Amino acid sequence: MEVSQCPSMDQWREMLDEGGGDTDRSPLFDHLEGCAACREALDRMTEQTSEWTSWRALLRDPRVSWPDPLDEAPAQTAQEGLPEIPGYEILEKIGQGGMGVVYKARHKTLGRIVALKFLRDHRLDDPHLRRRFRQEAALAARLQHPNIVQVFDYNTFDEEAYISCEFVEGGTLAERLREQLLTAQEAARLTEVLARGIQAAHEANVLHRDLKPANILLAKPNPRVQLVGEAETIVLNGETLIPKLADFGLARAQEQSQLTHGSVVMGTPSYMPPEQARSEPFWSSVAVDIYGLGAILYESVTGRPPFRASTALETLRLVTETEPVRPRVLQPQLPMDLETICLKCLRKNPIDRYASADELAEDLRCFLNHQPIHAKPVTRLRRAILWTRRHPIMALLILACSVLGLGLVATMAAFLVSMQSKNKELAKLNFDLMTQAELVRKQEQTNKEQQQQLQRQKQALDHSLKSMAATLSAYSEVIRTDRRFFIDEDQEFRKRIMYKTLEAQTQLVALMKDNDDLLLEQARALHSMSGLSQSLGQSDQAARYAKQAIASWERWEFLAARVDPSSKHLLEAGVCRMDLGNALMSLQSHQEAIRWYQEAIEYLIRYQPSEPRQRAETLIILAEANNHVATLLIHHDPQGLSQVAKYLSAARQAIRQSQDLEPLPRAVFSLAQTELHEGTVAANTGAADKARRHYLNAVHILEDASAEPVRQFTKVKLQAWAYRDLGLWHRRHGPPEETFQWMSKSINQWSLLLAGNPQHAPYRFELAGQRGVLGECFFKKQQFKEAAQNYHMALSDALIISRAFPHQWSYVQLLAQLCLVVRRDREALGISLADIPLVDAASFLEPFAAPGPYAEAAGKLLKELQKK
Amino acid sequence: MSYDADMETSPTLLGRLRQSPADQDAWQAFMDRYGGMIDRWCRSWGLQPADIDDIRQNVLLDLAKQMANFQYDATRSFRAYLKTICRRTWCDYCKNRREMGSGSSSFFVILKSVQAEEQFVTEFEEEWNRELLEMAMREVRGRVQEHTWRAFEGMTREGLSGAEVAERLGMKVGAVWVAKSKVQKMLQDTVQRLEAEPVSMSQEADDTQTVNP
Repeated sequence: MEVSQCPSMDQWREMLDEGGGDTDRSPLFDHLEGCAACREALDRMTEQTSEWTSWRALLRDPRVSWPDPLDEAPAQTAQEGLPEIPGYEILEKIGQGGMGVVYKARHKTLGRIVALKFLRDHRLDDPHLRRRFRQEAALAARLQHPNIVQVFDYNTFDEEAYISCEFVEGGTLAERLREQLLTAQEAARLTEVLARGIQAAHEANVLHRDLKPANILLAKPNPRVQLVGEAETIVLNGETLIPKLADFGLARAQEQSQLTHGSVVMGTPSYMPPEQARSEPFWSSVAVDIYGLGAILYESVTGRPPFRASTALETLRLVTETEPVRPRVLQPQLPMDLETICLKCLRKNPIDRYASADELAEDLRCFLNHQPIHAKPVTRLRRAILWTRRHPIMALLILACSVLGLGLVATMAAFLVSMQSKNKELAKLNFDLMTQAELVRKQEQTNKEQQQQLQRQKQALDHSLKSMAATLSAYSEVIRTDRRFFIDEDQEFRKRIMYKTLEAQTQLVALMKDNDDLLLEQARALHSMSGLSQSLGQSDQAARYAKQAIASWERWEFLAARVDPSSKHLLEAGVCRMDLGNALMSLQSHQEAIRWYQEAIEYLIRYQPSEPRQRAETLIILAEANNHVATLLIHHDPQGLSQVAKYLSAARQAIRQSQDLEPLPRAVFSLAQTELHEGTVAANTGAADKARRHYLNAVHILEDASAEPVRQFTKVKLQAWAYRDLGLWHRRHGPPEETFQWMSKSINQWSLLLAGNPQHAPYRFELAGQRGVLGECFFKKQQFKEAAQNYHMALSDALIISRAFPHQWSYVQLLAQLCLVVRRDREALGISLADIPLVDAASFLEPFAAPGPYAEAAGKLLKELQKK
Repeated sequence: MSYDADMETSPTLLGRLRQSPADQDAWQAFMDRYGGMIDRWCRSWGLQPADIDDIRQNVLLDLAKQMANFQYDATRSFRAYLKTICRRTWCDYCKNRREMGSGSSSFFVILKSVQAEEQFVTEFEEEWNRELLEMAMREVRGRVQEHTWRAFEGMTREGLSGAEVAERLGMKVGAVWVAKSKVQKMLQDTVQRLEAEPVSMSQEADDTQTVNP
């Protein structure tokens, strides 16, 4: 039956809407095959509709997971039992791989035992899979290598394609790894052998492309089987085995890579190099197999593939976007060189990997022969590239450092224990000597020698403990304070190093206990631990360590007959007290902080170094301590204002003396700080003009201050304060234009500060408040759009900090006040009521309205908020 | 057909969470799917891994909160509703990140944020689209014959020609075309139905077959 005329649209539609029934539509199908117009019409109806366009694109999106193929295969196979293949006697089913079923069979005429590998039957009619199958067979048959599974033949039977290949007795590497990991040597040797096999394949222009432990067979040597060439063997756990590369399932000659089909990813995600995972057109290179070998090495020693996630898709994402966990993190005893080799294979960029499998094999040979390897953990070029992403190098350096450090600590602990038992032995020996008078003299001699030796060992130990403590302290100082390394860097990473160092120091301090000689080092270590803790935001820990450090110093002072005024410990102990004050300030223990600052001042005054430069530096620290006390008194002691002047003049005097001795860059910052405080005092005592003069002084001082990178932070912070104070001053005294200018400048500085430490709520609090003021400025100038923008930001920041610290009255108060202002002016601002977090503000306020210091203010705000 | 909207189970994760915020399974699946999307978005803006964890968690939490608090107006599309809460969620967090640029002028940072917001909303919507499509595919897959689906898959997902698919499946070329069109149409209808929120999947599954032109 022929449909000569094109069916009508309705006819097509009818056909589409009809269920999956089996009405004979052949004439329509035939027509469609020949009629492009009707095919187009059909497309217009279903595919080209405007609503469908975006969805159609999604059908090609690799992130969309399609429903699994309906898998009827296993049931069928089970029913059918073993297939019958002419020429072969099927013996048993030995496996079901990703590509197909594998049978053990005997070739009827040759008597040879072979493995027959079938295509998975439910996809039999897929021409692409069949083409791949034929390619695999043809290519693999070209390869003859004792460490590659030999392919003899390929054929089809009853529409089932199969390969006949060498039957290998023994399991796969994957099975083996499920039971036991390989040692570093075993893994290196195995990978070397595989690499040489792969090299042979590469020379024959064949890539494997699906290297993974499941494709590595471990054959037991069989003397009856004639091998072409000498097979390389490995020894695993005392057993000699021949590794064999199997399943060149994805292998295709490089020149045929244009056959790569669409964006369908081939291979096994966990072992796939990123270029393959992304289906990049140039993924067909030897680097793919180098990666695969690296992945095998990785799994052999760690027991897991370099990347593994719950879904294939997520694994692919990991492969393309993240670095593998370093093997030594999983297996700390793994030699560094082997890790380096392994990671070189797994580099994201194919160019960074070994250029050939042979090169990899050679480096593994060097490793096995205890010769230097060629791969470098990180090349100098790479270091330059990674300069902005600094942490991998830092991780390497620092982990190496701390692992070494911890190792040393562990060794020493063991040594101390052994020394104790030696002492016991000595005691016993002494006892024996008493009873055996005859041997006394002789043994005493030995005893003395032994004791002398022990004494020497103890000295050596003390010495190394000391130097280690000093190194660690210096080291922690660098990672803690050197901002050049850490601005905008990965804070988490920095924290991790700090924790490591802290851990090492804690162990060290535990060892140094009760050792008077080490008191000074112990104090220093504790002090630096305090610094680390404070940097990690653990102020309570910081305070505790600082107090311990101070106790150590005090004990040392007690033991020392006389403390020389030039003794450096006075400075250290003073600075430690300042740090304790800082920690206490963070903990809001203001009164206690003031007491420690005062002690710090005493120590710093006592310290009289002979060097003028050191004196100048000490004087600046002294000025800073005075400034700190002033800060605390100004902000937290309503009665303290009268005393502030005393500290400020002491600070000024110290700065002046210091500058007379030697001009130091940090002196100007102390001076600016003092000016700011004096401004605040003046403002609070009603001397408005004087206050403004001081503020402006501070601004000028800071503008002139050339800040090296280390001081950049201090400069920005002081400028932030100065601009803010000036802005607030002008808000009160006018003119508005000045308020606007200073506030804008101030916001800029505070934003910088927040960028450096986004978690620091006080910065955000300042920003929220100041944006509110800026919003007010804009509002007065009738620039409503800008006003709204600033209010928006202010509200959002205030909301963030109130959520994070709902117990902080000033945060909640600011949020509520901002809400009220914005609600009042919302019409002019064009902000809808729904966008003002009134409900949040009220819920935060409620706890404060309960009886307490803020009850009245909170109650008032709450009432305002609840007004309609 | 009439139904009580509150009695139906929403087909999509977001819908399910909106209806019952305590549904642990939905929550887990939601975290997996949309968490991945947020990760991608974060990485595209060069954020650090530590920040990404933080953002993912907080944005998802906030999204859930928004869904619980912000009423869905049944006269508008669920898609529009989703975009709105997504924007609101984002607003809470973008400002948080605004200052995290490397000290550039605030204008640039704001501009950047606006772009980031657009991209966030777009990607969010795309993720939802993917979810809908996957759901629709699963449903349609079960309603057509194996070879019909395979024909559709061959022509769309793999981008093969009608003739290639026909050869592979042993079908007539015309039949392949019809199969593709048919599945496509069923998918369209299903996606449309799933998009309307909330609708029971099972109830309508059999009705779509009798839709008339």
